[in-house]
Amino acid sequence: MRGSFSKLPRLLWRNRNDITVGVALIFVLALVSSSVLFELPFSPTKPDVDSIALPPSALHLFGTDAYGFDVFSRVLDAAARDLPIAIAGSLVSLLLGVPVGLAASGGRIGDLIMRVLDGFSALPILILVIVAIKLMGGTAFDIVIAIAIVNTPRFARLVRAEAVTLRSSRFVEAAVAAGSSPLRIAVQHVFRNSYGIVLVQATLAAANAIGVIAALNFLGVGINPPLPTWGGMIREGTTLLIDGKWWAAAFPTLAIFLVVVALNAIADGIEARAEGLGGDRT
Amino acid sequence: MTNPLLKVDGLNVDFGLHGRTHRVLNNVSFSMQQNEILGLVGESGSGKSTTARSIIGLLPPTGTLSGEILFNDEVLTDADARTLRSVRGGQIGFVAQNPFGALNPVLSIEKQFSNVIRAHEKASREEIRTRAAGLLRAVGIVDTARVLAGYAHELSGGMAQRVVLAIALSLDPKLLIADEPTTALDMTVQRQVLDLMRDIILASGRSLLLVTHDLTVVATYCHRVAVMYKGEILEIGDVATIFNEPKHEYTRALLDAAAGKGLVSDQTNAYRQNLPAVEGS
Repeated sequence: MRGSFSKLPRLLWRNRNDITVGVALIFVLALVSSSVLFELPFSPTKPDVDSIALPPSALHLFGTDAYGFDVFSRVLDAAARDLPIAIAGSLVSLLLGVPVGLAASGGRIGDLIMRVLDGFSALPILILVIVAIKLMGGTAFDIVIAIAIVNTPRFARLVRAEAVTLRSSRFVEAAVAAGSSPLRIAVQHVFRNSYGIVLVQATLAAANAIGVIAALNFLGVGINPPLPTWGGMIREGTTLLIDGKWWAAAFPTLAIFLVVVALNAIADGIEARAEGLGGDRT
Repeated sequence: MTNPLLKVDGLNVDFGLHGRTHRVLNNVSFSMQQNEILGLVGESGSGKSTTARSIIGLLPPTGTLSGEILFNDEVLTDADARTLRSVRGGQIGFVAQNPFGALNPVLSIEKQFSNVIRAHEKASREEIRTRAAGLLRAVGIVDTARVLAGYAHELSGGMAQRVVLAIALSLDPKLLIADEPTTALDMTVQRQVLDLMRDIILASGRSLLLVTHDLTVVATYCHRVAVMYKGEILEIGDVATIFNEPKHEYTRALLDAAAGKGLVSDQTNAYRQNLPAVEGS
């Protein structure tokens, strides 16, 4: 047994890719679930007027903000709000973008779809989205739709680029020669060979969505206070920054930073895995 | 005499490139009977592959086709997409040059059988598995369970081409089109695969259109041969007749080249000088 134990470091190093993905996943999941699974030390929505702008201490791990909210509790509570919206937004854009990209990879309709998407990318999307959310009321659902609008063209473009290459491959030709329908070819031969990069893009889109959500909430559109969001907390925290009280803005920023790094680590891990799946396409 | 299985009549194919069109096939006509192996020979760019591909509608989108292709008294050249799909795979099987290219790298071999079979008919997983195993045994693969569960990259070249052949045969097509099926394989395996193909074709009363540049293969496996050069069929006939009494100078040059005496025959040399290689090949 001692022999196998001494091999442990090498074993861990060899599988570092998968391990990183696992650790990153656990971190993200832990953040999402912590406020649901455990009782938060303080209420995230009820301020304590007697403890305003206190620095981090054993009682208030991340300090308190200008209204007397406990920053630690609010960072965790916001995670359970921001992350599911980001992931849902990414999934919706995947479900919309992949079929559009597959459809756009062939024929005249495909060219038309791509020109429409090109026209779309000329618009200042984020500004339009801000206006739209403001008009719709800014529920979590509205934000999911907003993220989908921003990300769907990216999925479509990516899948189309991959599909165009795959469609000229020999096995697609063989499938045509065997009498396969266009739908069967799109699903079995094109999509099954590109889902690796689609997963990578989905993860990156979720990371991007975290930033978009934070930006929206920072600008005051989207979810309304006192419900905590990371973007909203940073905005409220900025008023304290001037007095040198960094904690109210720094901890939600750190949370965003860590989640984005974790999602990128997951994306890298999937990409390394997906490369092995591509195989010989000539 | 019965109607031919396949009749190609006055087939022209043009490729559009930079606004100009290039004629790739010019007035190609031939027919095939049931249970016949027809060889299509010629150098690279002579149009033999394009001819084979035209029959199953595998021309690239830049190609335009005129003329008539009749299969089993059905006009393929103006069939709708649905009819064409049922003919492809269902009645005409296709074996491509590179077996690894023709197999999807991320699908198991069983799944690839299933894709081809289910493109034409409803079948349960068990039915497909039994059928695929039977087809694999017919092409000389013993360990069918392992091959079916495996992927293309786990196969050797010869095995992969056997699998491709088995998949092409899964809907019992009357005609098999093989586009240089053994070029990517090494010599000993070439022989095995071609022997197997011929035996299966002749035993089951099917026909085979064999595209190749190898005259030895033609001499060994084909009943008749069509010699192509620059998009035209120069001559077509029994292998013995064509090989013994080639009517066309190009055929003679081709035969001499295969026999390794291309530089010896003065006549051939004289012809060669007027025989430019096909552009872009």
